[in-house]
Amino acid sequence: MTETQTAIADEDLLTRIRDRDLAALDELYERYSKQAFGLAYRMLSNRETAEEVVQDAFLSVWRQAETYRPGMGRVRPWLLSIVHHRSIDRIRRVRERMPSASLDEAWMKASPSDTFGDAYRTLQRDQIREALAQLPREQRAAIDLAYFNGSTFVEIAEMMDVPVGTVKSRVRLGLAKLKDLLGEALRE
Amino acid sequence: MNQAQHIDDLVAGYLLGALERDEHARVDAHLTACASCQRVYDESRELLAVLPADAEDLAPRPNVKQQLLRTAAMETRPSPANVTRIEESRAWSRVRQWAPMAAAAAVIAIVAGVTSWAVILNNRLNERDDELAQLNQLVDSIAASGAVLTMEGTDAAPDLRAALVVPEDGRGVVVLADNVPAPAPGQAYHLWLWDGDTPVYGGVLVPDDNGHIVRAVPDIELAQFDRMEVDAQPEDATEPGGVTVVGGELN
Repeated sequence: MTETQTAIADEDLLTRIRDRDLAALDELYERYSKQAFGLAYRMLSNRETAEEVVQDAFLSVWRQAETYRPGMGRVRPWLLSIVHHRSIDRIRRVRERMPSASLDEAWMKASPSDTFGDAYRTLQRDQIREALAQLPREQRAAIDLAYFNGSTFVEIAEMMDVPVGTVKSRVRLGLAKLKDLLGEALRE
Repeated sequence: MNQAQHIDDLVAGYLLGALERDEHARVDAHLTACASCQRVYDESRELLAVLPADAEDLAPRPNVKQQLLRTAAMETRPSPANVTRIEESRAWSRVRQWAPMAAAAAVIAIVAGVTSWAVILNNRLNERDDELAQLNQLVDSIAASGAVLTMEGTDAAPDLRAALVVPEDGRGVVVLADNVPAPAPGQAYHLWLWDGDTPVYGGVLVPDDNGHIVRAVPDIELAQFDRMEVDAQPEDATEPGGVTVVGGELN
């Protein structure tokens, strides 16, 4: 199945889920539960908590399917963003840091294109990992700590013993470099 | 001020929730008015969306899917068109009416219970410092919110004490319970929320080795329900009817 066909089928699944079709939820789970759990486990390092996050994320899809609009982008990035935000919620609860309740809202903030998950949809996982591996070490570390560890920029600055502004720059420059590398991979 | 340059450094942190509160609010406001930064936002969101590719695929245990589908099957949500603001207001008014009466005792009990919860949690302190901080923070928020409902166990679990906590935004509920007996082999505790005569499944509640339950149930509004029960019955139960260990009216 091609990426385009998958995207169409995913959106069709969301339509069926909106109509309370359990088989569609089952199919969506079969497609993405391993990626979802892999992400949650990478962030939380605890099987039970990661499984709760995955279950909560799929239940959110079940309960909020009507809020999904095809124009918002592809289903997988949307689902994984929910997993990411729920995982950060768990991390933040533990650390008594700024709550991430507004993260879902931040990711769905209206913008001119108002879609996401489309730009790099044809890239394979190996290509993405290869691009990440080419990032300068300190930029990659800052991005990893923020994304997978749920650390704030202030926390990262303390861990790296650098000013907060340096952390912000490293993340921004790292993403800019990643954009270039992924762009090259797309053109290959 | 060169606003675009300034916000460039903050957009990724905004999407990652890595900013301080004031910075987050500043980006939030700025993005609505700056097309240039909205493009940076779009690009950053696309790039961050590829990062899950760096995590290895792992299979959750089969019971996760089973419980997910069971919970979904039990839900009989009304369509958004049938949910009126009047119903929401009435439901919330029930909580508000209840709160002043129950909160006095419940919040006092919970606040007083901070110490006992801390004692309970201290038993796991060596391994779980972070969780202690989390739960103490939760108890603080409970005391602050006042949206707490306490319940006592039935004859099947007379020492059980439970509290339902509704966050200030009204979304989700946290179930706290103490003195929960271990379920019999092959059995589990199931949470049921009743909307009139319609049960909605809230998930399995698993006590730890010390008989404590701390379970967050997100994405529900407790105010929509009239009654809750926790019963003990086989792990794959699909409807209420087991031995009730705690329950009560929510209004």
